[in-house]
Amino acid sequence: MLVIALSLMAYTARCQIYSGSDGTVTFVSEAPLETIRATSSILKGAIDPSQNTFAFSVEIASFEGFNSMLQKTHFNENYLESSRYPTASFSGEIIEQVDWQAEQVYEVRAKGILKVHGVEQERIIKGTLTISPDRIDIASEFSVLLSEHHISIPKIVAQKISKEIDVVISSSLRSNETK
Amino acid sequence: MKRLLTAGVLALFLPVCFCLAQVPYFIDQEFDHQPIQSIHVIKMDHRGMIWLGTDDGLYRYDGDKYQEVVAHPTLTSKEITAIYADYQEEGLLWLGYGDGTIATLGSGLSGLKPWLIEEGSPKAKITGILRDSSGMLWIATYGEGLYLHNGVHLYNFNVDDGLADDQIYSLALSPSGEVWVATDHGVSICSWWEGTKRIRNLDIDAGLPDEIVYRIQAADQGMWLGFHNEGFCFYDLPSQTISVKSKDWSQGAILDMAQDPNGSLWMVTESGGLLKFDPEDSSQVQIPLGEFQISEPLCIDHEGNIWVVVDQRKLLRASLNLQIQSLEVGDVQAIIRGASDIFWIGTANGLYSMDKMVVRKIKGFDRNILSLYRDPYGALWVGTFGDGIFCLDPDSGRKLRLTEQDGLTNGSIFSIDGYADRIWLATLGGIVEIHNVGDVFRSGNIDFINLQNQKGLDANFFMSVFVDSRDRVWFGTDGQGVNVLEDEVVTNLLYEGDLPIRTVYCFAEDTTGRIWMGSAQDGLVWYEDTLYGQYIMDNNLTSSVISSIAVDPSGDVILVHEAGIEKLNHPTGAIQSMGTDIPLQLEEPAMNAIYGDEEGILIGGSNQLISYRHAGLEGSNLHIFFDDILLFNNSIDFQHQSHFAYGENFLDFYLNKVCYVDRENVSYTYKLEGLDDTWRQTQNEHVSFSNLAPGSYIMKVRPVMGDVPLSSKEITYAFLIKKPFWQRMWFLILAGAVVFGLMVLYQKYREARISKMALIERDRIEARYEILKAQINPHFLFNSFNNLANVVEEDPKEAVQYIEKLSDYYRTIIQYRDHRLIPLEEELNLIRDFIYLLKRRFGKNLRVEINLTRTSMLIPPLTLQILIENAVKHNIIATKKPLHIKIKDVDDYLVISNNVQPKKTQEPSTRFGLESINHWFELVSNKKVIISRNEKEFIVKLPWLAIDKYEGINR
Repeated sequence: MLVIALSLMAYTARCQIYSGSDGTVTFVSEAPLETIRATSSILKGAIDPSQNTFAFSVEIASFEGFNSMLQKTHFNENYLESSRYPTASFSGEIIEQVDWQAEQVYEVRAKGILKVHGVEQERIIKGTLTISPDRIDIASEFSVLLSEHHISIPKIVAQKISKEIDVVISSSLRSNETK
Repeated sequence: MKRLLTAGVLALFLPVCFCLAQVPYFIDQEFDHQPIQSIHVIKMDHRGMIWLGTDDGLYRYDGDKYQEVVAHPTLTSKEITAIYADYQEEGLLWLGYGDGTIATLGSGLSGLKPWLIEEGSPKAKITGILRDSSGMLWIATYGEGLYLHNGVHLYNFNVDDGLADDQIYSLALSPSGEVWVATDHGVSICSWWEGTKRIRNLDIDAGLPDEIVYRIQAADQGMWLGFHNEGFCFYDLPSQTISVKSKDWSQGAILDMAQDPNGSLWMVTESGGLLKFDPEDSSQVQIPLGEFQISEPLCIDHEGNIWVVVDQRKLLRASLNLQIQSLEVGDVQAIIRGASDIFWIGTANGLYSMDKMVVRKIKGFDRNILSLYRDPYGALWVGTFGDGIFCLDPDSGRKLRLTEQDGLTNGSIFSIDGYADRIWLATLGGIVEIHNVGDVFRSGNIDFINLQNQKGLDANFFMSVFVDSRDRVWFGTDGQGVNVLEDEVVTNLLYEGDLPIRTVYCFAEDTTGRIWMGSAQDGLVWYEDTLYGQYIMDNNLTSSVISSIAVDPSGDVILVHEAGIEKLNHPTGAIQSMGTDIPLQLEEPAMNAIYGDEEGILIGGSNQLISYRHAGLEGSNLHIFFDDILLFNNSIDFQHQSHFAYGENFLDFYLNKVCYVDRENVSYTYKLEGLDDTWRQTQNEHVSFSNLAPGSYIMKVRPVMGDVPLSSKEITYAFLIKKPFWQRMWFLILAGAVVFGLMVLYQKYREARISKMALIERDRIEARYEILKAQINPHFLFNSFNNLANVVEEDPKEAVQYIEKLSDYYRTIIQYRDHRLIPLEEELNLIRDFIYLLKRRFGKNLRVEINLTRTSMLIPPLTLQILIENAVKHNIIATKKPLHIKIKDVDDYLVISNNVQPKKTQEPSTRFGLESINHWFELVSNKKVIISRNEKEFIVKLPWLAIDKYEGINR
C-alpha cells in the first residue's frame, strides 16, 4: 500500500528546474492469498539540478486498479486514511554528483524523507536517471514496510496483504525553461 | 668479625649507564606462492586466523600457507580496504572495497559474494565496518560519510546530519557503545537511538591537539586517537577529558594503532616506523625493523603476536610473549627483584641494577657473581665465585664483604636463600647456615654454622638451596640427590624417598605448593609430599640438563636449558618450545639467571635479557578447527548440516589450527566414534573416510603437542548417515501395518466364505434330508411297488427292467447326495430313470420333453427330479388331461414348465422342494430362481450355472 511520492517544493524560479505531473506509481502487494496492484498516473515530481535536490508527491486517492471497488475504498479509508493524509511524498538530495548537461544514464541513490500515511522515514532509494535535452526520465523500484509507516493491518487480512509493499515509479520531467 | 665498607651513594651507581628497551623480535612470514600485492588490511577472525585485504583480493594466512579466497563471479571489485569479523555470526567476514562495494564471506574459503541490499552499495571507498552491541552494522566511507544498516534499511549520516566530515579515515566502537569516526575535522561520535541519528563532535575546540584524526583505538576506559601531526592522545570517557598526550611528537602521521593485552599502544607512524607506547610509565620505544620499511596495517592476535606489514607486501610477526633486549654486561648469572621496579643482575663481570629501562653498573663489584638474595631487611646478598659474599644496602650504598676469614668455609657461593632471620648458602664447602642475622648492617654480627656432616648433610658440593612457602629448606647436591630440612630434621629424598634426581641445579614452587627441580642429567622432577614425577627427553623435553626453572602466573613451568626455553603444562605434559625463531643467547644458561613473579619471568643469557610475559588473551592459544568438510568432494555447510542420506558416505575432513608459534610441533589425533575406538595420530591436515555404513558418528580431533594430546582442545563433529528407507522405522511400521491390514482383510474374506459355505452346507444337508425323505416317500415307493406288481403280472421281463431302473435310481440318488453341484448331463441321466419309473405308472398320460441346445451347466443334484415330482404330485394326470413337462434352455436359464391341471384334493405340501431350490441358487449365484404360474402353465426358471464358472464350488 504504499505508495510514494512527493510533495513539490516551491522552488525559486531563478534556476532551471525539471518538473512533471504525469508520472506513474504502481504498488504491488504480494500476499499468500492475494496479489493487489494499483497505479496512479498523476505522480508529480521536480528536480533542481543546481542543488541536486528533488521532490515527488502523489495523491493517495488517485490510485486505480485493485481487485474490487470495495478494496479501493477500504485501502483509502482504513489503511492509508487518505482523508487525513491525502498525499505521499519523497524529497531530499541525490547522493551522487550528476552532470545534468551530459546526455547519459545514471544509477543514483536518493537520500531523503519518505512520507506515507503522515509518517516520515529517512530512506535511501536507488533509481535510474536518463538525461536527454530538456528532459529527465526517472525510474525506480523500492519497498515500503507497512510497520514503518504505522499502517496496521488486522491479523485476519494478513494473508491477503503483504507486510512489505513493492513500489515502481516512472516519471518524465521536463525543463521549465523550454516552455 | 666485620668489615664495613662505606661508600658514597652517588659514587656507587657509576659509569656504565645505558638505556635499553625490551623489543619483540620480528620474523618474516614468507609467502609461499605468488607475490601478494599491496596489503591494506590485516584482521583476525574469532578463531585467530589472519586475513589479509590486498589490492588483489582476500587472502587467509594460517601460519603455514597463504590461501586466496575466490570471489563469486558477480563480485568484480578487487581492492579490499576494510575487513570486519562479525561477532554476531561466528565465521562471517565483512569486506569493504575501494569502490564502495561491500561483500561477505561465510565460513570457509568459498562463498565470497557481494552484499546486496535494496539501497545499493556506497560509491565511495569503504574505510571501516563494525557491528555495535545492539546489532547495528556501521559502515564508514571516504566521501559519503557513515552508513548504518539496521537489518532492514540502510541509513546515511553525513555533513547535513551534523557529521564533522564526509571523508572518514577510520571508525571504532567505544566502550559505551557509540561509534567514533575519525575525520579531517575531528571526531564524530554517532549513535542510533530508536530510529533517530545522534551525532556529537569532538574537535580542536573541545581540546583535541590536532584537527586531523587518522585512527581511533578503543580501550577499557576510553579511546586512543592518532593524529596527522600531533601524535596521539587518550580520551578518558568517565572524566571526558584527555588524560594522556604524546610529547614533542616528531614522527609524523599515525597510520595505524593497536593495543596489546598488556595495555601498551603500538603505532605505525609516517616517519618513525613502529612505535610502542607504554601508558604505565609513559615510555615510548621505537622498534627496529632492520632494513624494512613499515607500511600501514598493524594487528595483534589472540596468541600474543604482533603482525606488521613492511614494504607493503611482506608480513612480519613477533611474539609479545617473549621479548629480548641486548645489554653489554657479559653472561648473566643471577637475577633478583629489588625494591619497587628495580632488578639486580649479577654477571660474570659484576653487579648491575636495572630500573625500568635504565641499567647501571654498581661500582666495587667487579667479581664473578653467581648468586643473589634479598633479605627481609632489604639487604642484598651477593655470592661470588671464589670471592665470598658481599652484602649491599641499596639505600645507603654501604657494603660488607664476608670471606673465609670471617668463618665462611668456602668462598664459592652457588646459591643463597632464607627466611626470617635465617639464611642458607650452598657452597663448594657444603651448606652454611647463618643464624639470627637481623639487619646485617646494624648487628654486624654474623655467625656461620657449617652444616657439613651435621643434620645428615653429608655431601661436599651443594649446587642449590631453596626455601619454599612452608619454610622447608631444600638443598640440591652434586650427585647425591635432594635434602630437605623440615622441622629441623633433614631427609635425603634420593636415599629415603627414591626421588629420581641426583645432581640438582635449581628449584621452583608452583601455585599448588608442588616443588619442581631441574637436574644435570635427570630432567625435570616434581615432588608433592610423598608423590613425585619426572619429565625427561622421552616426554619430549629437548634436553635433560635443566639449568633454571620458574613458574608463570598461569601455572605453567618455564624451563631453561642450553637448547632454549620450553613451557611445560602439568599435568597434561604438553611442552611448547619458545623462542625457537628468536636469536636467544643461551649457550651456557646459569642456574640463578631467572626470576619469576606474577608479572612475568626474566631470564638472563649472554649479554641478553629475555622477558616472558603471557600476553595472549586466553589461557592457552592453540585452536584447532574443521576448515572444511566435504561430502563426495563438495563442501558442506557443516555448521548446520549433519544428516546425510543413505549412500552419502564419503567424507573428507580438512583440519586446521591457529598456532603461529612452534607450529611444527603441533599435530593431530583423531577418532571416528561409531567406526572404531582407535585414536590415530597424523601430521596430515586431511582425513578421509569412505564407504561409511549407516549410523551415528562423532568425529573427534585433538591437537597433539609433542606427543601429548590436549583433550581440552578437542573439537567434534557429530553426524548421521541415515539407513536406507527400507530399514528405517517409519517404513517398517508402514510395511507392518500394510501386512497386518491385508491379513485382516483376508481373514474377513475367509470368515465370510466359511460362513457362506456353512450355510450352503446346512442347506445341502437339509435338502439331502428332504430328498431322502422324498425318496423314501412311502407314496412313491408304494406306487412303484404297485406298478411293479402290475408289470410283474403283465410282463415279467419288463418287471426285471423296472426293478433295475428303480434300484439304479436309488443308487444314483445315494451317489450324488454329497455333491453340491453336478453337471446337467448327469442330472438328466438321473431323471431318465425316474421318468421311466413314472412312465410305467402314467403311461402316455405323462409326457416329458427335453429340448436342450446345450448342457454345459451345473445344477444341484436332484433339482429336476424334485420339480418333476412336484408337477406329478400336484396335477391331474389322465388320458384326457395328460401332463406335459418341458425342459429347455432359454437365454441364461434352464426352464422347466408344465401345464396346470390341479388335483381337486391337493396332497399336503411342505413347499420345501421349491424353497430349497430357490435357496440353493441364491447361495451360489447372484441370479434368482424365477417361478411363475398362470392358469395354464407353471414355469420354473433356473439360472444357468456355467460349468467353467462354478466348477470350484464342489471343492
